[in-house]
Amino acid sequence: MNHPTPKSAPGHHRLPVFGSLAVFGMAAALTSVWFIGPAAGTSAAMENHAVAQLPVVDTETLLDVQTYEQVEAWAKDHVRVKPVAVDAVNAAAKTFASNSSSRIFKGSKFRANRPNELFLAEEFVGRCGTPSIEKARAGLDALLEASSTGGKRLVVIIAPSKYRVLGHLLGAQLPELAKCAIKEDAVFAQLAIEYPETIRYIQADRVMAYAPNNPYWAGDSHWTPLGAQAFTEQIVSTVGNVTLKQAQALMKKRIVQRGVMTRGELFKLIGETGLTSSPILYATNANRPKAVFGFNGADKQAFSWTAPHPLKTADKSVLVVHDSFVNVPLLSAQYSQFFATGFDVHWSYASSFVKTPAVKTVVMESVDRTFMSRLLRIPGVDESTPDSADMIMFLDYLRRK
Amino acid sequence: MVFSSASFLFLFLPAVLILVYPLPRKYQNYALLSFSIAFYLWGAGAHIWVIGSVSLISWVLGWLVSRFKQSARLAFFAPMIVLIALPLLMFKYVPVIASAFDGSSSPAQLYLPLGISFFTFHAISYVIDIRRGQIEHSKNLSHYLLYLFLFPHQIAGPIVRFSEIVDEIKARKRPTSSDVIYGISRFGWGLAKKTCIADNAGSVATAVWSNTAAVDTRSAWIGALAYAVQIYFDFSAYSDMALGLARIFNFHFPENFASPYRSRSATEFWKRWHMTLSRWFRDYVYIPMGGNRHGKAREIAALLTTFGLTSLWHGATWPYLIWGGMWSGLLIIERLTGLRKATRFNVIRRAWMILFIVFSWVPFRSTDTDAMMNMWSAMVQTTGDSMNPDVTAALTPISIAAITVGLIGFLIPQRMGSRLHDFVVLRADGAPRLQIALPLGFACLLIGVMLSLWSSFSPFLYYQF
Repeated sequence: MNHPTPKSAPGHHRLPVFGSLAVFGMAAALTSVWFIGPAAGTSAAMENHAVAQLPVVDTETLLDVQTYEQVEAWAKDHVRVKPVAVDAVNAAAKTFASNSSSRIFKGSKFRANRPNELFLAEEFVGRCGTPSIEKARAGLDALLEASSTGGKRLVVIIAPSKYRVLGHLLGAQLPELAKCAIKEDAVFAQLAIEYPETIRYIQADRVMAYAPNNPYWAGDSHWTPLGAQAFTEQIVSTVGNVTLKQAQALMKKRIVQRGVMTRGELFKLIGETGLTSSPILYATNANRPKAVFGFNGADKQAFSWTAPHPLKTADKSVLVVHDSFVNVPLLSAQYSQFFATGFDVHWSYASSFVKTPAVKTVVMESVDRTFMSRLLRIPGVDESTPDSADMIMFLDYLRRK
Repeated sequence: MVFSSASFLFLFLPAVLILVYPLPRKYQNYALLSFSIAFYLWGAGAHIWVIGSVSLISWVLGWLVSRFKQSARLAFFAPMIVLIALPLLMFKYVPVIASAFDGSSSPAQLYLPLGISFFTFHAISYVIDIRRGQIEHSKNLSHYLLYLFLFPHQIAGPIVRFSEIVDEIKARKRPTSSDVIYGISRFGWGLAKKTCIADNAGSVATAVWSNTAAVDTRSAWIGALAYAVQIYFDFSAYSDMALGLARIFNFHFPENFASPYRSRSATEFWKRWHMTLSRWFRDYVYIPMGGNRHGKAREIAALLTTFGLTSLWHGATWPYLIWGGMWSGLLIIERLTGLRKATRFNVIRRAWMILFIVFSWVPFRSTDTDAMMNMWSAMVQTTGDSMNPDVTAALTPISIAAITVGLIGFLIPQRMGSRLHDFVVLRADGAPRLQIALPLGFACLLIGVMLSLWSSFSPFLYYQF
């Protein structure tokens, strides 16, 4: 059976009211989706590119298809209508809803403050407080006093944020976007001078040297196992008591690729599909430590290890207290082999400190954007910042003999 | 710019709807022509000169033919057609011929101007139809340019005859509410088909074809079925969107698909698949060569020529030629045995056709004969113990659901007719059921738009031809 041909009445001279409403409704629906829906394209496409510049449009370039592609790329990077629209809708929802945290478009957290969608907004806005060198000193002094009481060596390794390493992609906009971070960087630089035995700040070029193409995951603020080698290099050098060059040579000899990991699936939830693949880096079979997961019986975040062939020059035992910058790239698998006995505790599992045996050296890892706030949460450092349980437990651990 | 791209959905289309739709009728043609040229310029840039030349040459030739219709003999007329087809031949086939002469394995690919095949076919049909006295030469160049450039059919058809829309161009009429709502519904339906089914099935086909050297039997069958789903839902979706868009502006384009996978014979398949292309080749190649009116030998020669040209139109590669050879072979067998007219054993004949169609898409999808042979041999003899991990990874619940829905779609009962959308949306008298069409259209539009944003951009398959 054939369907009847859709009927079309003889045309009118005037616009049909219902039809016109439908047409404008369609245009409005499409524009609304653009304004408040997820951004088009994969995160891989949005990241790792220099911010597009508006092309010169003249009689010659008008016929060049690349001109149109550049205009499109420029609009994606610069036209901020979408985040403004998202914020406006969320603000309206917040005003009218009883729940103060009302956010009907979840993607907006990622989008609203985005610097052209290259990085997580938190990379910048998380560091907009007024950094105080005095308070930073007070925090570090408290940590060093506690470790001295416990007879431990304290090393602070600061991991660089993604924007710091890939920030050049933002071009001329970086200084404006990163002005909060710039103030904080000045404090870091000063602390590095004042605490040369304690502070180790990993510079961007050292990360890029290990992973020129994909030092960080697409759609994610963490570094890949490749980029994370800069941390391994630092910890092996500092706790292993060798030079950076010697650390590099040791890593070359003892670290191998085993498998590949990909990340980015999570970002499908906010409309992105970009995945980054990176090799997982492990100790060679001969040097692979024996690891005991969940030594406090609660989880896999805290674990201990014993290495079969540790560095002879290295401190005998080490505790690495860290954030997700160590967990995400399975970083312990790279460095644990170098230290005879070790413990690995994520800040979220600070309760594990109670059961963690005392060690010779404590490595405190923190990404740069959260380091200052961590110091401020130490009791007695900043009256306006509440003390945090994890820092109190950490101090207790440092003091324990 | 294709219909599922962000630039089209969020920039171009809203702009056309808001700026062109409410314009007074006398300005609408100019506005649509301007937007259609912008649409082309955005996608093809400087190559617009190719299409511009084809347009002007065919318009002038149309005028010449209309002036000297009585004396326009074939010797005078044939070079005109070659002249119109020259850019297509140059861009698509000269590199292939050149590579055959210089012995290089792969031809240096020239950039193919967007939609050049479709433009050329439109232009040729215009000149031939004037010669046949079926249409008058359009004295108004802008009308002719609008016919060629009209953005809904510009990139991938359907191939519209000038006679089919000339009245709608000449005397612009406002669309009725029924037109608009049917158009929105059909456009949304197409977008949802493309993003929900075609793209998800396509991801599985891509995974299978990415490594045909080590393809196992299960993967080969899954890949072939997935591609059969993808190509139908992709191309018919484009046609749905084109027809829907055209209808919003009160243009009535011919249908391009009518449940082709329900065919009982190859003859029937080509009456249901890419109908406007089949019609073009029938009217301008097969019938002029004698069709079935001058004995079996002539009919077979006409069939072979038609399918040879159809294959070459898709691409001058061995897999396309093999694909065309398979179909012309089956058509010839049907002609010689009278099988195409048989009316019994419909279920068996449909099953056989599905099997043949799935097999025939293998060369169509393969970039070389090695890939094609690997796929075919894996499909007919059991190989490989485990599936390729890439295929396993591509078989997500969503892609499995897309393929399943697609396969079920092949088996839609005949009483639902050629188009499920129309079955759902239209009343018996042909008018749309507004209370169904509008919500369905907007729901499909929303789903399609969101999915097109959430997934990697995937252009339409027929975009490349």
